[in-house]
Amino acid sequence: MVGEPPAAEPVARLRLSPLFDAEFYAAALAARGLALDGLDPVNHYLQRGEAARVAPHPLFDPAYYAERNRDVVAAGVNLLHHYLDNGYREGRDPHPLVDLKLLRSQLAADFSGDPLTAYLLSRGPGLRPHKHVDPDYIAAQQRRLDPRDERPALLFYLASDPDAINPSAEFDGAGYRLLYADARDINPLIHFVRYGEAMGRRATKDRGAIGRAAAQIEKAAALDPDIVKPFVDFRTTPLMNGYDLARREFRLYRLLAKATGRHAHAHVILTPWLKRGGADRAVLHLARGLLESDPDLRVLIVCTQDDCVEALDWAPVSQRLSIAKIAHEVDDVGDTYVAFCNFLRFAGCRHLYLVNSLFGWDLTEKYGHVLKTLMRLYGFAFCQDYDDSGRRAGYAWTRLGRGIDHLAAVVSDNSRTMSEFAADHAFDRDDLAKLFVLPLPVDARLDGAAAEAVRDNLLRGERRRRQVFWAGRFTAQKALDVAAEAARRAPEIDFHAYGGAASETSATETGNFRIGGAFSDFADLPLHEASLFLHTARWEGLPNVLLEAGGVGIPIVARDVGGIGDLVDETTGWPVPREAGAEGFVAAIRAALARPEEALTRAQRMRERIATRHSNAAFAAALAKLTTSP
Amino acid sequence: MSDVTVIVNLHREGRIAVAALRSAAAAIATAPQLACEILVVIDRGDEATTRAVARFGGPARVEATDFGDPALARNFGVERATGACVAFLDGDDLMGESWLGVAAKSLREREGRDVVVHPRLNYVFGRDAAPLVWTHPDMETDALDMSLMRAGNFWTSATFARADLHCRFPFRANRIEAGLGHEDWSFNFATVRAGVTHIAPEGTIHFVRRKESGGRLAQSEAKRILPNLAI
Repeated sequence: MVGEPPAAEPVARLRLSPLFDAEFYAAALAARGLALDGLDPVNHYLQRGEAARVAPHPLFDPAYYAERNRDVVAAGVNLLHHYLDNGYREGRDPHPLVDLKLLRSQLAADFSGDPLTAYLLSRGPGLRPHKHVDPDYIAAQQRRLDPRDERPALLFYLASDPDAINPSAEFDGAGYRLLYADARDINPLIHFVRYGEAMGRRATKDRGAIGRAAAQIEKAAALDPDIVKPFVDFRTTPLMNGYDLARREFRLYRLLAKATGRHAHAHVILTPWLKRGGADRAVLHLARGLLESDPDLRVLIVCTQDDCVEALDWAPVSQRLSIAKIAHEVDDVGDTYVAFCNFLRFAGCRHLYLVNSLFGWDLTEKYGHVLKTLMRLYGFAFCQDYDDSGRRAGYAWTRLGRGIDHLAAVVSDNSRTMSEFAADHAFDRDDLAKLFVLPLPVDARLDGAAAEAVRDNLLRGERRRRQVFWAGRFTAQKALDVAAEAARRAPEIDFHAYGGAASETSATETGNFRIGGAFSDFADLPLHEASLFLHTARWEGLPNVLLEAGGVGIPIVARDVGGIGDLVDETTGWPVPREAGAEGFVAAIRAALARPEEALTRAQRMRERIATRHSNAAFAAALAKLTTSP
Repeated sequence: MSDVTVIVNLHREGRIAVAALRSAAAAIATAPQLACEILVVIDRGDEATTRAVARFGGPARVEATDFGDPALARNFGVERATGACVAFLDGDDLMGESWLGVAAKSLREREGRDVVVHPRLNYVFGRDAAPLVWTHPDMETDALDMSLMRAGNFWTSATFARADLHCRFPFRANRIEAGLGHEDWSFNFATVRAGVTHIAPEGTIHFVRRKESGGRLAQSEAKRILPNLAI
């Protein structure tokens, strides 16, 4: 990007500023494959360099400054000028290794200028620019290389090979890089300060211990050629603290122990997260059911993939429910699996539930042969899932086949998809005996909530247009496009889609196809306006939204996929064949609306089915059977 | 009766066992104040390993066992040891020259207490891997959260302790078929729980060979073993 030629005054200011180093700037440009192109360095910086985040000085990092000061970027002002005018006064650090507050604390009480400039004008070790930069330690190395070098220690350090020069006795750059591959292309201390420290990583300390053992190492090397290879200096061997609290398995265990307060938790549920999806709802139903089954037991929900717990307001309020968020502390190396297994053992876990948790399925595959002797494992599989190419992608396909030997039960909320899984994996009699249907409960307060309004809309709505509701996530799976096409083909009917914003779908609004936005609770929808509920998903388990629509008393037209057939059949609604297009849905919708009495009858049967199968009592009974059956 | 029995546990290490035995002999020579013996326990060994022991040529008692379990082979070694103290050495590892002298002194300084001594440094090496040194923690000098022993093992099996302590805390048999093993972790866990202090004095080092695919540890990892801890 080429900016306007800058005014003379800003150019002159930078030319005089200790924070513009023309030589350094030219080298930084070259390192990025850029050139001055005949421009004066200051002009180049102002016109092009800063926009490309090329540093004008070793201790002013425009990328860092921009990242930390979005307001300055938004204001569109020059970053270096901003720092020189206001930034230093406002404590906006110009570089990851420059702590203005720390510097200022070492200056005279009445000092009011830029602490960084003061640092740059200092000579020798003197000021400490950052807690991880020990000026005396660096200066000792500096003097060894060139006794006349009086640059401030940090400038010397940043200009040196970080594998050879360390910033303090507490930080070994080469060791840090060896330990953490992601730090190989960046100064290791900067990486540690910006990322590693927050991740709980520990810097490797001085390697004096190796030096003290040098004689013994040499003698052992004389006994075995692999101990010190020829021409290798073993003093560069990285040194790690065996008891390092940054060890991932330690961090994981501490997180879990903190979450559980070291109480016994007989039931542990592994879930990727607690968002507002169907599986998340199932997790919370499960937790609620277990807590209600026994006033003494505790339940732990472990989020293994994402810390999001936004659905916690659906969770039962109980001191006996614990939540652990371990997404950042698990990996597939092995030690974290062992630590997690040990946690389960010491936490007194007797029932382990896997609900869409990849970590959980992997744990089962790897350690299920041991865990199953210590506790019961349940694998939940609600429906098939597919990738963008149409290949099956859900854990029911990718993990269930190898995990079932370790499971006490394979649990689904419907019987139809269970049959598909059995066929997919050629389950034998023993496997089939493990399949367990656990219908999830529906919110009892919804029962019949819209029945009277729907009756009115259907029976006395000749003078009004019929309103068809659609609700779900705006994803390819849910096929909102089919609903939009149905609306186009049925101009006499209004369609309302809830679950997202218009910007989230390629389906465009028309006169009879409206997008109603996101909702967090089905009861918040304008249910009193509904005549019919439409469900178009291409694949499914048994979606909660159908239980809710059926529960409130709205007649349902739904594609017969996955577990939907358990709920919607010719007696309780209008099932549409799996392969049907929009015209099939339109035909079913018109058929239902043309026979309002029949629609109401089927809706009533649906309510009865839901009340019977999906009550809290039925759920509690099924859950008790699941956890106690042999 | 000797002061120290160095128990060298062998399985199918073959020629590399010579380096282990020579390192034990060197450590013994560096501690002339101690009366030491080397006891070689070959558990389900092969001919190459037996020949390697013969090739070593130094003074050593050799016992062959058929446990197929390093935990039971270690317990057997303790039974047969004449030393008041025992030092374990895996047949593919090497002990540092100062190990026996410093460890024995450390125990003497803590007479009357239950103490297990570990080398401070573990120099991990291998044919195809760059070496790495990691430190053992010390319960006397390091602030440790001992509950983390449930999450990870703190110390290897290269220990120096009184033989009677090992009689009171024998290694738990591995149950590989049940998925339970890691006898060193189990031993450390049980002893810490019983109040035993584990120390790692400065100036001590062990050389731990990175296990190759045929090693027992590698087999354990392949079989996904959990530590056989008394919960």
